[in-house]
Amino acid sequence: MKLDRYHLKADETLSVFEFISNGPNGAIRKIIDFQPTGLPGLYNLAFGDKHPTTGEIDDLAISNNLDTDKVLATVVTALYAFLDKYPEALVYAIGSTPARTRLYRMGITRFYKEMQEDFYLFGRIGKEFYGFEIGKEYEGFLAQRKFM
Amino acid sequence: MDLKLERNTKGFWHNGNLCKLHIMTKVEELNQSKKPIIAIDKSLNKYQGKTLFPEKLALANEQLQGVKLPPKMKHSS
Repeated sequence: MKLDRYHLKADETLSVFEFISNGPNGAIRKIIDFQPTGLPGLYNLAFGDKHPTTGEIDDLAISNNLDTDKVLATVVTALYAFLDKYPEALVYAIGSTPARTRLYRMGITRFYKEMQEDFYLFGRIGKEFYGFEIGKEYEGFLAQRKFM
Repeated sequence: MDLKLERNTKGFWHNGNLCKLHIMTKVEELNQSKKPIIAIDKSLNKYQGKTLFPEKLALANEQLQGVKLPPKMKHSS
């Protein structure tokens, strides 16, 4: 991706990522975690703020750091890294609130052109997954890496 | 760390002609690559095996129960 994004740090398994969002509300430490779900080979993408003193992770925090695009581009970068390391994995993403899920949809829409070259993208409606289409509402999202 | 695109233009004289070289900086190369730029930080290993967002995982597992996954796409290599 040629988009502006934050520098990422990761653990040795490339499952946990950290970066610092910089904006008018200061430097906010963010964590991205690819969590194994109950379905083998399917991981949940979880994302939130790390509290500066307690170290607790909060996925409901609203940073308002005016860097949404840069943050989303950084999350997509982590997705590339994770799926490069685990090419057979499927990654599921949902927001912690319906508003966050809409934000994810906006993020995918924003980077769709680039993402669709490298990922199979699906949106969930009820119990079914459908090929992702711009402008459609989904309750969750699924990505699988394409390899040429 | 913001990675800004930069192009360094350098040149050299050869047989009376100025030959210009466009040297891509490493940062530019990295930015133009689709391969992500990641630094391994062993301090993050402490999170391995821990569920950092338990509510989110519970919600995902609940939503994925009984869901019909799309057919697994074949990798072409």
